[in-house]
Amino acid sequence: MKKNIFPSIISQLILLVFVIVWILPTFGLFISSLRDKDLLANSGWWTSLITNEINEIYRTGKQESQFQQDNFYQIKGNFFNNVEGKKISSFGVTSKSINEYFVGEKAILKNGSEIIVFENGDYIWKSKEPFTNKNGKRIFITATSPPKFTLENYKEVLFKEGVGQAFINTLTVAIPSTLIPLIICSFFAYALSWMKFFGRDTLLAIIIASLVVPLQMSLIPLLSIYNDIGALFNIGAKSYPGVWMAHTGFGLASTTFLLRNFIKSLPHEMIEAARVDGANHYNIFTRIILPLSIPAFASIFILQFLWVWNDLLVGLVFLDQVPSEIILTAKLRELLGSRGENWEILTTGAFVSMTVPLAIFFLLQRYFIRGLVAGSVKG
Amino acid sequence: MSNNLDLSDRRFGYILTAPTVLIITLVILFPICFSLISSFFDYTLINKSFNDFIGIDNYINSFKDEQLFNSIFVTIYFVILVVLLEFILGFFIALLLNSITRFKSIYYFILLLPLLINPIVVGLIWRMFLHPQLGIFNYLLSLINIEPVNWLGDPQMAFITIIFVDIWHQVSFMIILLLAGLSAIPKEPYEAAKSDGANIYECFIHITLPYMRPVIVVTILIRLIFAIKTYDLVYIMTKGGPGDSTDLISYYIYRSAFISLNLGEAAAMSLILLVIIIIITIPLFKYMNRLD
Repeated sequence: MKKNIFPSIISQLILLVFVIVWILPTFGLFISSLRDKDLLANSGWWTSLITNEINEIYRTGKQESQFQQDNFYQIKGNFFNNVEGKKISSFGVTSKSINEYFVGEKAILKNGSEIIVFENGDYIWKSKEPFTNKNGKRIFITATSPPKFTLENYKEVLFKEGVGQAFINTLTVAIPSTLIPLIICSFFAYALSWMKFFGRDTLLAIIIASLVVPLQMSLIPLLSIYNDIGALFNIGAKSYPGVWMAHTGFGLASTTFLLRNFIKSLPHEMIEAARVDGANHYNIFTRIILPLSIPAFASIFILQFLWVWNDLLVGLVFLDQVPSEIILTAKLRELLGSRGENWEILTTGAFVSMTVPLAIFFLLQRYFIRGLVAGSVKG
Repeated sequence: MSNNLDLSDRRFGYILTAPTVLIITLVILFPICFSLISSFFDYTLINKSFNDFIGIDNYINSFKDEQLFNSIFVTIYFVILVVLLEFILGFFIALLLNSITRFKSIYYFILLLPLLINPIVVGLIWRMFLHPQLGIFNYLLSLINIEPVNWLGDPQMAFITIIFVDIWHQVSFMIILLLAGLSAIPKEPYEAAKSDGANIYECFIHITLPYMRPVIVVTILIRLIFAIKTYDLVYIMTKGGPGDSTDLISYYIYRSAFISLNLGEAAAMSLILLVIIIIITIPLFKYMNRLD
């Protein structure tokens, strides 16, 4: 049986290794985008996942804050200003031995006063004589700091760096560039599968052949006709309608190919019966084919949408690189050039660009896979 | 289906076809003709006119261009390695996935994630991971006392790195198609073979592979076409360098068109590329049709 090609436990183990290796880069990107930018520039992202030990220096309160209680002069306070999370494990009172005492132990200073530091950062400094020091006493602590994450990067990237606007621009490009070819190819795929007309097979061959045309080849001639056509209607060559058109053209080959395979696989009998009953092609198309094709439409929609969303080249060539038109991938490319070492901006921008594909994938995983499989695997 | 279409039906057919024909003409056919024509002229972005007919000079220049040959060789190495390795790894993973039921969808889902990521982000992620100081790869190497590696700085290493990243990014495409093929194989042949005493490797050779042949051909064909057109990965990660070690042909053509601005020569090279793609894919397309 095919189930036994590999013993199940071994399969599980090998797959587990693959899966970990495969998710690690995306995971690292996500973690990086949540880290503080100063930390990001100094340490690898994986260090933020574990609790780190840190050494810090704090000062106690000044003499003005002392008060008298039980015959002692005391200064009390909290080193961390009561921010929770850090835990002190040991402390010291001189720079030579910074972890001389455990938390809760009494450290006795030269002048006879004593200091106790607690795990949460609280301290009490007691002395029989009044305190006269001007600054607080320096205390060296060794503490563990838990992983700390922030959404600050997202705020900055979305609103200050213009990634938010680029996100909206990309939607403006992607939605029409997905819907237009879908509508057009649904007409055409129907005609290809169920009608006979002059030149049908030649057309199909051309469509499939156009799958292999390198994108770069079409860009410059296209841009120059856009210039001419655009001038007639007083639209700049680099504008949203131009991008929609380009994406429609480049997407049409694969969408037609996939949809035709689907429409052809619909039951013959139903359509024959409808024709016997006197339905014309218009009725068959709108009443039978379209409703039945909804799952195929969903698959093709997702594929084309992801393709357009992740495109860089078409967006670079057919849109001006200005804030009101720049798309996400082009924006990221720009940031890569201008803010190449600002990892917090790059990683966060990158993750923003992944949100929509991830959401679509989570919601419509089944259709995504069905779409990819449809054109190539039978059965 | 009835062959006697009445007039309105036929007209409806043409209406349905018209938008596609219009757009394909505009976006695919026109540019090819335009490229073909401009490849015979001294046509640059500065001198955009069809006045200087130079015959096949652009083609001669292309064939004399050592860098073009270099990038063709780099592309051939790249495509062969990438498609082969991705196919082997993808088939292996697909077989594993097909043999389990538990956690299958979780594994599948995670392996598919890279397919959703745009190439810019892929480049960014890997620049971060391969960073000489802050990257996790050199950190892991340092744990076992190996000197840090300059992943993208050394010509040979950069080429290997690019291949590795492409495998990470694209192998899931193979997995999807091959797994779909595997799950469509009927169970009866395996049961029959088992009762005849065949072991699992014999089953694989004599049942799985023959059933999978059409799927394998289609998968490799599609992946091959896309691999030849790979461009954004080197654009983001290496810019073709160091030297010209990762200068894939699509990126080279892009540069001659958009940076050197020599459109005529770029057009000539695109047509050469188109011919190469067609020559490679025709046998596969033919084979595919025969299998149908």
